[in-house]
Amino acid sequence: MHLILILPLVVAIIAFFMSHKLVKEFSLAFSGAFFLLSLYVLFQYNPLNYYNFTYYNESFLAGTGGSLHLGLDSIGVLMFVLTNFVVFYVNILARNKSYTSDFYGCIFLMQFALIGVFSSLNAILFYFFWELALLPIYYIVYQWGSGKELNKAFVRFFVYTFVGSLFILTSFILFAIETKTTSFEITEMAKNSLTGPTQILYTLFLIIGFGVKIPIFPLHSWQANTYRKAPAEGTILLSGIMLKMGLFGLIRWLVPFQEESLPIIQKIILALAIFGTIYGAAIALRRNDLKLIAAFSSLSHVGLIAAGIFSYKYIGFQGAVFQMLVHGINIVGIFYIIDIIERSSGTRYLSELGGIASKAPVFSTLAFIIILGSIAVPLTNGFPGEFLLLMSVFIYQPILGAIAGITIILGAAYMLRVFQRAFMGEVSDHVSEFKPVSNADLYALGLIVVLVFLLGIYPQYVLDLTANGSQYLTNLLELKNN
Amino acid sequence: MLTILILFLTGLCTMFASFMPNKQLPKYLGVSGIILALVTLHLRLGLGLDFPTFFTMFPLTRIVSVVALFLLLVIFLAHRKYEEDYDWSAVYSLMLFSTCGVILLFGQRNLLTLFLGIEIMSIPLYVLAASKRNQAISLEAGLKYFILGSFASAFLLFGIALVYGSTSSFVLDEIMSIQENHAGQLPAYFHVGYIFIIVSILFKMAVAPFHFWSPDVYDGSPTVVTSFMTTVVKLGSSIAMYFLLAGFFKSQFENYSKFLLPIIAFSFLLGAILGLVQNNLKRMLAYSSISHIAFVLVAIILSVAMNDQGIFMFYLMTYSIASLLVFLILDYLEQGNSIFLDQLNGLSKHQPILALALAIGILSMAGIPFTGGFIAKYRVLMGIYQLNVWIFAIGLLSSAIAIGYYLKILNRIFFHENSQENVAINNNLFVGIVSILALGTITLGIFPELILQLIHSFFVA
Repeated sequence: MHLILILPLVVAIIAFFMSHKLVKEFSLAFSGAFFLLSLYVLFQYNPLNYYNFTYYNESFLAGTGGSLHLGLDSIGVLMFVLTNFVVFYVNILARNKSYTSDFYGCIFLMQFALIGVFSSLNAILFYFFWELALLPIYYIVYQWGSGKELNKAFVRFFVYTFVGSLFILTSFILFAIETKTTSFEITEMAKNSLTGPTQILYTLFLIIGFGVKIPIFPLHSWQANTYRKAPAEGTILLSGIMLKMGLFGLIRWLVPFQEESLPIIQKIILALAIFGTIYGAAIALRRNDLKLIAAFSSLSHVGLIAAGIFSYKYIGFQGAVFQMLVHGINIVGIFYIIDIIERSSGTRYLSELGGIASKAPVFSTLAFIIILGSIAVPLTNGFPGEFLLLMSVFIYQPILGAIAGITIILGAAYMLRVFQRAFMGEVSDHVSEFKPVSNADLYALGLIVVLVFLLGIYPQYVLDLTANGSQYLTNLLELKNN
Repeated sequence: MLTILILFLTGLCTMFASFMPNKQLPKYLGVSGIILALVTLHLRLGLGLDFPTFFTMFPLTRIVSVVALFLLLVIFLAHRKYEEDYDWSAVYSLMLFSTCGVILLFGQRNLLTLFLGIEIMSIPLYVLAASKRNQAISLEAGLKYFILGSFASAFLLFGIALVYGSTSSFVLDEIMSIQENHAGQLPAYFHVGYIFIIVSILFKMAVAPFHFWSPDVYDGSPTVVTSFMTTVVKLGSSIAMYFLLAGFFKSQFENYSKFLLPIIAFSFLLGAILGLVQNNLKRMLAYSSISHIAFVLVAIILSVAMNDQGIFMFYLMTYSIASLLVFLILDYLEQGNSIFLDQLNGLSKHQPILALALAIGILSMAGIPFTGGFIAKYRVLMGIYQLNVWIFAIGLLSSAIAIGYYLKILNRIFFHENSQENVAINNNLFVGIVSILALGTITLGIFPELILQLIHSFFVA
């Protein structure tokens, strides 16, 4: 495991010092290799052991309660594959642009940190990687971002995420001190539990800390502007994988440590998450900038995922994990499409687009399928996850479930609006000079389309894989509640 | 004792070396003197003279002496030469004398040693602060430091006199036992003496509200001297504080830490907030050091309360290394005597290695994970949480605010276009040393115990 972790770091260091010409091919090759390696890890995964590929070394971060304790559970392994997938796509996309070598260095550094986040079994180590994952994205957003008021968007992004991580650290310290545990190993921590007001504090702090990254409704205001100002690669990283850090954090560090269920907090969070779902979708309906629409659609989707987690049901966890994976794949596809449109026509504003389908039919077909996946049409990958999530919320509270169901309609509405305005209709001025989409881009989108169908028709493979992880969480909660 | 003697003799030789035609001679002499002192520490050579009530080589003394000598060595090797014909022998010898005082403080058992150490440490500093004779700002810094520092010394002396008057002893252990056995019979002015002593050390540490000299002196002194002040001298005064709290004040510890807590909270906030509005980097770092030294003070209190020297030693070490790193680089980049934020614009474009090293130093000061500063701050904050939740919250808040100005520096380094003419740096030794310091900072952040263990196994065990 530690080898898988260290490899991206080594590549990152090499990439930092490479010449700007060579680095493109170099990093594309390595990210592809990492993706294949991650698939190999996925197939080697043995669901009978809870944590696979564990590794332990205590001299790392000694004296703080931290240690290098790594391992993948079934949820972690999916996120690990997703990380490699997203980084691979970022590299494919970056091929079209001229980035300097520090960009690629940052990407691999981030991959290193993300793998660390998804595999650390020690709270301090987790926090360490969490922070490390933020540093490269700050650099990418600021250095290659564009647009007016980049500075303002960046400062907001920075303050939100940084203060959020401080909350996470504080809650870990709180846990350790209040339970008198000296160890931050997850296995040790799980033996103890908080009670009373400190538990509420721990829960709230973690929800705030992770909620910034997800983002859950009132903490989302950094998101839209950052997505818009960041370069396409940065947006893909942020939406494809970094917000999964927050969701994953909830599943890994919050759910198992809740002693008694906290019905009031649970209700509030569920209501907020579902409100965010509807709110995101409603705003996406009215936007003109494609990137903003994608940002708000993302807000809408993750709201539903968070709601599924907080319904504390087996199917909720199953749906959440599945949807995390699927949302990662689809949002990469959507931002990829937006980037192609922007590169080919020079604009990403709906009002200036139209009739792409007549100029680039293959591209439009692929885009349409990915959009269908995002709407969650049956037989596409969006459906099983969304269905499980809605069902879980519905079982918890039928009214909330019914409200959450509106998001499907709204999702279809804003996505189809995009498709109608941009791809159909009269050919607009900008689109009339639409540059042909390169074959490589089409193959890249093709792979996503294959995944859309594959996971839509046969979700069982993934659901079986995560079954023991979700079952474990459910049992834990039932055990503690009785 | 031998270590101090060697340093003192080296200082004398360095001073007289300025009569020699070779301009490099003082530097070589100083460096070899420091290395010789390190060797004596490693071999545990002594003079056979023992002053048990005066000065003892504790294990802690050995460790901090090694750290201080190492820092001094780095300063000697890596500082910039201002003008070719500038005579460095005086600066070198004064630094060496000052370090003698610092090491004396590391092993103090006696209030007289404390006074001697503080004076030997400070008097060369007054001269050093004013060592750019042709600049008014430097003279002003020296004079200010001298006048305020003399006041602090007077406080110290008066405090010692009061304590001596009530206990008729200078020796820390004796005073401690008198306090324990005759707690009720001590006159009230004994406690006044206490407070006077503490205040004078707080002044030397530049903790708010005794900090007013520090931004001016930091700014006015030549940057080499500033780097010496934030590292070696801070080490000396902090250790002095530790000995006072751990030995002298142990029985009254509860009361005195209560007296210190508001001061700490004030320094946290003052350092963080006033640093935000500074444009002059040396002043900004002076405020940042006020905030950091408050952390050191908390760490000392924690170390005494938990009987674990590791917490504050680690903080001091990471802070000294990071601030030495930052000041050495600023020393190279400055023009004239001050360096402003916009002089860092676009540093990453023309000096990538220096920019990265500077960034690592700044990140460590800000306490970002994977640098030593994070581990240090984390351990202190974790401890304070048990001590006092409010101080914990203020500490956390102040680090969050302070990130604002560290971020400003990073912003300038990486994201601004270069507006200045480039300073060409072709000093490989300098770049090498800076890289070592940066790597050391990262090592402290990932394997925190490693360096202290190495020092321990080489110089103590």
